[in-house]
Amino acid sequence: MRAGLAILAMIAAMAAMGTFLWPGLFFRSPLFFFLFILLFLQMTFCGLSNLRRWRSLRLRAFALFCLHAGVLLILAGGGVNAKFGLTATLPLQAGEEGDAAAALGLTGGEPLWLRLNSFETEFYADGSPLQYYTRLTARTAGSSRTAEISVNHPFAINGVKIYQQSFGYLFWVREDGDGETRAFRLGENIPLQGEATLEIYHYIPAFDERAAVDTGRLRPDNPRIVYLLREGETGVSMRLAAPGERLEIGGNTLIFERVDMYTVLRLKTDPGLVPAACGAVALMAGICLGFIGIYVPGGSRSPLP
Amino acid sequence: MALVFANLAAFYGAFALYGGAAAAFFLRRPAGAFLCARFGFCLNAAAVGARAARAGAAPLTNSYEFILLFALVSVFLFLALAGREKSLLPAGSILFSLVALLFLFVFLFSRGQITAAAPLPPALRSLWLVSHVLTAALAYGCFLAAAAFALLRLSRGAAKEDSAFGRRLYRIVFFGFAALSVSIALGAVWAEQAWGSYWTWDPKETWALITWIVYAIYLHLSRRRAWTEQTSCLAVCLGFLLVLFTFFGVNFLLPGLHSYA
Repeated sequence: MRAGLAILAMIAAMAAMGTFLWPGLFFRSPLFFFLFILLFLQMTFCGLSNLRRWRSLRLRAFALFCLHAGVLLILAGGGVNAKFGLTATLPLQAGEEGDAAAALGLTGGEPLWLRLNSFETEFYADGSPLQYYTRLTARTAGSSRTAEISVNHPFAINGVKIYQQSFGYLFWVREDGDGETRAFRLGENIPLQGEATLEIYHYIPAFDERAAVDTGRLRPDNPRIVYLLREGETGVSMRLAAPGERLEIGGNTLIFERVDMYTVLRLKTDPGLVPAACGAVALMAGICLGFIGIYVPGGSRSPLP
Repeated sequence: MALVFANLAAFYGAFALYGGAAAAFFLRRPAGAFLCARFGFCLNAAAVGARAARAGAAPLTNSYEFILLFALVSVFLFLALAGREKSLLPAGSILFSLVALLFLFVFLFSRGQITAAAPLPPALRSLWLVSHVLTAALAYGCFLAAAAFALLRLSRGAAKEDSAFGRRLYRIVFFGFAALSVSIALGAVWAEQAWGSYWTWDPKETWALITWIVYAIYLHLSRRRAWTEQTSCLAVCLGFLLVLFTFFGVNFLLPGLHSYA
């Protein structure tokens, strides 16, 4: 037991240092992973050697067994996920179909295609977002299913879990010359005559004209597109445009026809989720039994300190 | 508007009464201290209720709301335990000073949150979050009460070991530890549903785990009587310092996913 506690203390000390000195890096380091493997092995051996004692069916002993088995399973689940789990991000605009299996790098398995039917945002009365809804059709080799995904409500199919992660804006720009409408994302450049380009720099869904500021609200009550004109690599000027406004820029005529939102989905496979979830259940069961053992009179025959 | 006023009045009333309870315990006026503590508890509960009525949801999404619950749990525990066991009464001066300091923190740094009521962002609209924060408040309240009792014991110097005191401290810490374990597990489930990852080594998660480890070590070694009572009390105090760092220090020094908390 003391060895296990010493390892736990080392994990705590290193995690504390890690948050200050190497945030984000330290927790992926082999040293940190090694400490968890050491803890896993120590707890397994300690558990096996205590098995005979825990078999005595005393409530308190069984509670301790559940608690420790729960921690072991969570560690195992976390390890499996770290080694074999896959994640990917998939942006989709309305009508677009994305290959989820390819995005995750699942080659040779069953295909999984996701087609975005619609992406909507629900707002509070003050214009701040209440919920994001992605409605899609998931197509596999032999079937297709429609689903609605929102924040806190993921959707699972074929071992792949799909989450509402984020969103972005798509700017539909028409050039008067050829009449063709093309879509651009934030940060993309629209080529103009000569070396000039127009960069879509920022989007303000609710612009306050009197104070000339971004209200920070997401509901598109008074949208403005902030664009940056460049000559080669040099920025020349930054201006605002409203959707539908005609822009005459150095011989080009551009119209930002409309701004659409696209969804950004997070895809995940997590083979460690089942052992980790079983571990959490065992941990909870151990805690409940421990409660009975400690707080219910006669719940445990072994004395407390 | 009436709810905003009720919330403000209840908060400042509870703040004053908790301060009064701390002073009365220092001056060894237990009757007056208990009166202040009970009225303070009622006003604290009223502040939680007014906040919930105004938000139309469980008030669990910012530091002000969490401190209200944190204080409520620790004061309830103290009133329940010290009401039965008079030897714990002197711990009231420590506990109510700490609770008053929590309220002072709100007054100094988060005063805007008392009257503000921003709508919940989508990620915070989850029953998993409600249960996660409720159990965290329960755990923190237990740890505060345990730290107050441990400090009282330490302040009495190298007195004869009291097994009844050790058992009581162990029970309070075990309750808090169980609540913290459940809170961490529920938080992991919520994070998995909201962001697709049940553990990200976010600073708040990491420091909650460090706190959990320190209390786990205390529970193991205290149960085996491997520590003297003094060492056990010091461990409980260290655990509570980590609780405070997890709640306040991480918010200020190590921003992450929990930066709204």
